[in-house]
Amino acid sequence: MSAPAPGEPRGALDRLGVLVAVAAVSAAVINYEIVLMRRLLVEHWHHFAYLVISAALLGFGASGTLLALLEHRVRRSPQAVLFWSAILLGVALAVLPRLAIALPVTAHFIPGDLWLQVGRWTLFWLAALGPFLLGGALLGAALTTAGPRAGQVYAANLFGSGSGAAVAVLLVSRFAVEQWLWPSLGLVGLAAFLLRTGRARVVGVLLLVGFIVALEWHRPLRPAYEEFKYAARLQQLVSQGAAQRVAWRCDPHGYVELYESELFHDLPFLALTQPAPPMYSLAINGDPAGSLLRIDTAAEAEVMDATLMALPYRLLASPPSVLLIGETGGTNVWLARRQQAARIDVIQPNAAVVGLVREFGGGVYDDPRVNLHVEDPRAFLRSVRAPQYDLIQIVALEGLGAGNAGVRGLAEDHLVTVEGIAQCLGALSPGGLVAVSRGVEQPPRENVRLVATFVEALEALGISDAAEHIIQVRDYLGVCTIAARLPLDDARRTALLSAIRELNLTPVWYAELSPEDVNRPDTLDGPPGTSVDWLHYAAREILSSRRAQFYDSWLLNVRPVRDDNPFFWDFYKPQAVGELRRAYGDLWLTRAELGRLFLYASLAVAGAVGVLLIILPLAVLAFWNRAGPRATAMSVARAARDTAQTAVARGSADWAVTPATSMLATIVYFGGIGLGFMGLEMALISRATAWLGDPVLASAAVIGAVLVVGGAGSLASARVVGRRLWLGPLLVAGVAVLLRAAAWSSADSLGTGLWALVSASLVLAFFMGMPMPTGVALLNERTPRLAPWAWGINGVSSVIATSAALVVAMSTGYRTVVALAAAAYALATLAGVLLSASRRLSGGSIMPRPPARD
Amino acid sequence: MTTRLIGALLLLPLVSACTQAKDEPPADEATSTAPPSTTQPALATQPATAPAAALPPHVTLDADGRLQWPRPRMGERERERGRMVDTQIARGDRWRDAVRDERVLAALRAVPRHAFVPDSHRGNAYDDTPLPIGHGQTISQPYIVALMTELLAVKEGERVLEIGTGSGYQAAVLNELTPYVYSLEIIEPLCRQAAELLTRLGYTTVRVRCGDGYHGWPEEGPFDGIIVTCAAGHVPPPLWDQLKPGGRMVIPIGGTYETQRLVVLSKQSDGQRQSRNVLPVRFVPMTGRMQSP
Repeated sequence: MSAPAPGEPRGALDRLGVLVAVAAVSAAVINYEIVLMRRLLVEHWHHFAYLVISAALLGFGASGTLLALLEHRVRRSPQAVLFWSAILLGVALAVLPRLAIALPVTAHFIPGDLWLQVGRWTLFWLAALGPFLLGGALLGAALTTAGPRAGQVYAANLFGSGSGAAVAVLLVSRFAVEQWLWPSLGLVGLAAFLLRTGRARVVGVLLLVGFIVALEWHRPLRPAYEEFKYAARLQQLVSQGAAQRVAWRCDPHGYVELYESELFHDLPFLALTQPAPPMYSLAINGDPAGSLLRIDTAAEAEVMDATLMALPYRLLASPPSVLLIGETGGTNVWLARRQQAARIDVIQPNAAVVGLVREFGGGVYDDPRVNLHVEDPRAFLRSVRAPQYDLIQIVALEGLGAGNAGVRGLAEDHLVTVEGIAQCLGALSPGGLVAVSRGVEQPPRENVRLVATFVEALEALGISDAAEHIIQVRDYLGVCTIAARLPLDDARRTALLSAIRELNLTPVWYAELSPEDVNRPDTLDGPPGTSVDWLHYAAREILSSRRAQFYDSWLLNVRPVRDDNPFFWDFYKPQAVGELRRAYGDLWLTRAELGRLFLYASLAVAGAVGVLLIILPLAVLAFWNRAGPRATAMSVARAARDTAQTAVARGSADWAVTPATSMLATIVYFGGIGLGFMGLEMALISRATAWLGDPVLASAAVIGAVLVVGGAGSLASARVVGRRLWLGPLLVAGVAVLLRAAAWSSADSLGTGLWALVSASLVLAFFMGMPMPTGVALLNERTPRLAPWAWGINGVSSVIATSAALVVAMSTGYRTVVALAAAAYALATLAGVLLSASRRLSGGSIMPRPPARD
Repeated sequence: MTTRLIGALLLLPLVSACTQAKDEPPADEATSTAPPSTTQPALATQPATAPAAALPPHVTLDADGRLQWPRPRMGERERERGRMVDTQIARGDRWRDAVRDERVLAALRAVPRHAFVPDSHRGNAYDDTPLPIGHGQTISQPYIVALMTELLAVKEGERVLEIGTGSGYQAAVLNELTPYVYSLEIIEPLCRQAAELLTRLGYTTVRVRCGDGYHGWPEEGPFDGIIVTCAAGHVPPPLWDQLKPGGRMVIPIGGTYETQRLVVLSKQSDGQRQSRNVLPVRFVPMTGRMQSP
C-alpha cells in the first residue's frame, strides 16, 4: 500500500468510514442502475432495460482506464480522489439523467431520420454511462489502493450493491417515478461526508447537497414518455383537457396508470354491431393494458357477447369453470359472468392492477363466483392439483399489435412456451379448452406460432392427433386459437358451425374443414392459385409431416419457444433481412424485427466502445510508460524476445514468468471471469423472470443476491482460495455445470426443484465472488501496473457478455449460455494456474526495460 | 412461396394522420350560417332538415341528366403530375399493383398536389412519399391516395364520407369523381385551413366539418363509401351504421405505430360484413379514439 500524501490522515484507508462510503456508493450506483432500467421500460421499451446493464459495465470498465491515467494521483492522495469522485458522482446523478431525458430518442426508426436517432441514442447512453464511470472510478480507486484489505473493500462493494438493489425494488414498487433517484443522491452525499477531510471539503459536501435539493425541487424527474408510446398520447389528451389521469400505482410488476375520457371507446375485437360503453383506459409501464368498462352490472356488458372471446363459450355445454390468465380491466370477467360461468378464477400478478379494478371497475369482481389470485400464472398452474377448468383464456395475450414492430422481441414470456401451454392443458377438465385471441397480422406470425405451440404442447401430453384438437377461427380483426383436450366431436362441431354463422366468422382450421369453406367472408392473402389464406396453409403444414420444412421456408421464425428460450415475440430470421430490403428499400427497418437488430447493434457498439474507451487507452499508456518516447515497436519486441529467451534458459520452472505468458494469462483470467460472470447472471435473471414474472424485478433480485452472496464469497476468498488463483474459477465452473443440468431440465424446474435451484444459485454466487479479489490482490502484490488492465479487461468482457448472452439465448437457449459461461471459467482456471505459478519479476514489471538510451 | 409471401408486403411509408383528440361532440362543430360560396370556407352549413335528394349548391344537371359540378383545372406543374401518375401509380412492380381505374388516374393528374403542401415542401410535392403538413400530420403518399380511391370505387353521384381531412388532398381527389364529398377533421386549425383551401382552389362542393370522426356524419348519411385515413383498432360502429347496404369502406386496421392492414369492407344487403385484406400500411393512429393494443 502506498504511503499517504502530506496532509492525508495516516491509515486513511483503514478507516471504517471508507468502507461505509464504499458500500454507500455501491448502493447508490446499483440503485441508479435498477431505477434506470425501470424508467427505460416505462418511458421506452423493454429492450433498453438490458442495455442498462451493458452501460453500467462499460462505465465501470472505462473507470479502469481513468484510474490508469490518474494512477500517480490515486496512489499519492487516495482520500482526495475518493472524496472528489463522490462529489462529481453526486453532480452527475443529479444532472445527467435530466440531460438524457431531454433527448427526443425513440425506438422507432423514422425513415430518413435514422442517423439522427443513432446520434441521439449515442448521447443518451453517454449521459447514462457517466454515473457508472464516476462510481466505478471511486470504487476502483478504493480497491486498488486497499492493498491486502482489498477483500474487505470488495466485500463492502458487493454488500452495498446488494442493498442498493433491494432498496431499488422497494422504490419502484411504492414510490412515484420522480422519487426513485433520491436514495442514490442521499447515499452519495453520505459517502462524500464520510470521505471528507478538512473544512473546505465540508463546504463541498454542503454545496453538493444544496445543489441536489434545489434541482430536485425545481426540476423533478417526472416520466418523459417516448413520442410513440401509448402513455405519451394519453398525456397529450390530458394536456388538451380531453382526458384525465384518475389514478396511478406502483407495483413490483410495473407502473400502472388509469385514465378517463369520453373519447375512449375501444375494446379488443369489438364487433360492428354496437359501440362499447364508456370506459377507462389502463396503461402499464406506458403501454396499453386494457380497458375498464364504466358499468355496474353484467347486463351492460352485452357488447362482449359478440367479441371473439365469446366463441369458446359457445363450444361448452354446461356452465363452465373458467380461468382467466392475465386479466387486466375485467372485460373478460364481465363476459364470463354473462355466460353463466359456474366459477371464475382470475390470475393477475400485478396487485396494483387488481386494486385499481376493484376501485374503479364497477364491482366486476363483486360476484361470489369470482376468485382473485395475485400471483404468477405459472406458479398458479403448478398449484392446480387436479384438472378442473372447462375454459382457460390466456387474456394476457389479447391484442392487435404485432409485437410492436419487433421491439418487444427481447421480452421473455414464460407463459406461451410449450411447457407453459402444456401446463394449461394439464389443468383442463376432459372437455376443456385453452383459448387465445390475437389480431390478424401481415405477414402472419404470432397466430402461426400459437398453433405451433399448441400442437407441440398437445404432443408433449401424448396426444398424437393434434389436428383433431385445434380450432382456429377469425373475423376481420383477430384470430381465436383454441386447443381442446378432446378431439372435435359432432356436438361441438355443430356448435362451432352455428357460432361461425351467427357471429359472421371465418373458419381457419378445424378437423375436416373443407378448403372451400376457408377464407370467407373475410378474405386474406394466401398461396397463389388457391382460395385459402396463409393462416389455413400454415396450420395445415404444421399439422402435417411437412412441419420442419414449413418452419424453414416461412419468412419469419414461427417455431414454438420453450422455457430455455422464452422469446415468444421474437420472429427474427437472418434471411428475412435480405427480403425486407428488396421489398422496402431504405424503409426496410420499419418492417424488420427491431428487437433482435437492436441487440446485434448494441453488441457491436458495446464491444467497439469498450475497446475504444478501455483497451486502447491502456495499451497506449502501457506502451508510452514502458518504452519511452523514442522507443520503437521493434526495440520493444526485441527486448521482450530477449527476456523470454533468458527466462527459458533458466529452466522449465520459470517458463510461466515470460512476459507474454503472464500478460496473456492476465487477459484470459480477468476476461474469462468477466464473460462467465455476466453470462451466468443473465441466465439467472431469465430463471428469476420466470419465477417473478417481471424482468426488472428479476434483475434486481438476481443482481442483489449475486452481489450480496458474492460479497460473502469475497470475504472468504482469502481463506478459501488464497494464492490458488485457479480454485475460484474452477469451483464456479463446476457448480455452473450442475446448475445447467438442474435449471433447464425437461422436468418442471420451476416447481418442486425450485428451492434446490435457488440454493444452487446461491452457492454459485458465493463462488463467483472469489476470483476477482484474489486476482486483484495477486496483481497488486506482483504486478501493480496490471491492475488497471485487469479492471478494464474485466469490464469490457462483462459488457460484451451481457449482449452476447442474449444473442446466444435467443438462438440456442440459456442452457448454451450457461455452458459457455462454464467454459469461460474453465479457461480462467487454466490462466489462474499460470498466474499462480508466476513469480515477481525484477523491477516489478512484466514488460522488458526499454533499451538503454545514449 | 416465400417470394409470393413477400410479394404481399408492399412499400407504404407513414401516411397522413388523424389527429390530436379533442373532446368535441360531433354536432357542435364550427359552422357558418351562410350557404357555402366561392368566397367562404366550405364548412358544413346546410340544416339537417335539407332534403337529401336536392342538388347542393354548385351542382347542376346537364341536358343529358349528368351531374355537373366545379372541377378546377390548374396547368401549373401538370407535367410533373403526369409523370407522378405514370411512374408511381399506373405502373406496378413486384411489390405493388398498378392502379388501373382511368377515372382515378385522371383525378390524380388533375388535382394539384403541390397546392396542398406547405411552401417548404413544394419542391417534393410529386415525390413518392408522404409529406408533413403541420400540426404533426402528413399528406399521404400519392400511390396510397390513388389506391384507396380506387378501392372505394366511387361512382359519379355517390355520397362519400372521408374521416381525416388533413390537407384536403384526398377530398379533392374524391371530388373529381363525385360532387357529394363530406370530410371530417378533428384538428380545428387543419379543418379550417383545408376548408378554405378547397374553396379557394374551386372544390366548392366538398363539405368539411370540424369534429370527431368516430361518430361519422349521421345527418348526411347514409353514404355509399367511407374512406378512413388513419389507423383504427376496429371499424367504429357508428361509421358502419352510416354505410349503405352495398356500400364500401376503406380503412387501415391495426395496432398503433405498427404495420396495419388496409382493409376494404363491404356491407351486404342484409347488413352483414365482407372484408378483403389489401396490403400492409403504416398510418398514425386515429388519436381521437384511444386504441387497444
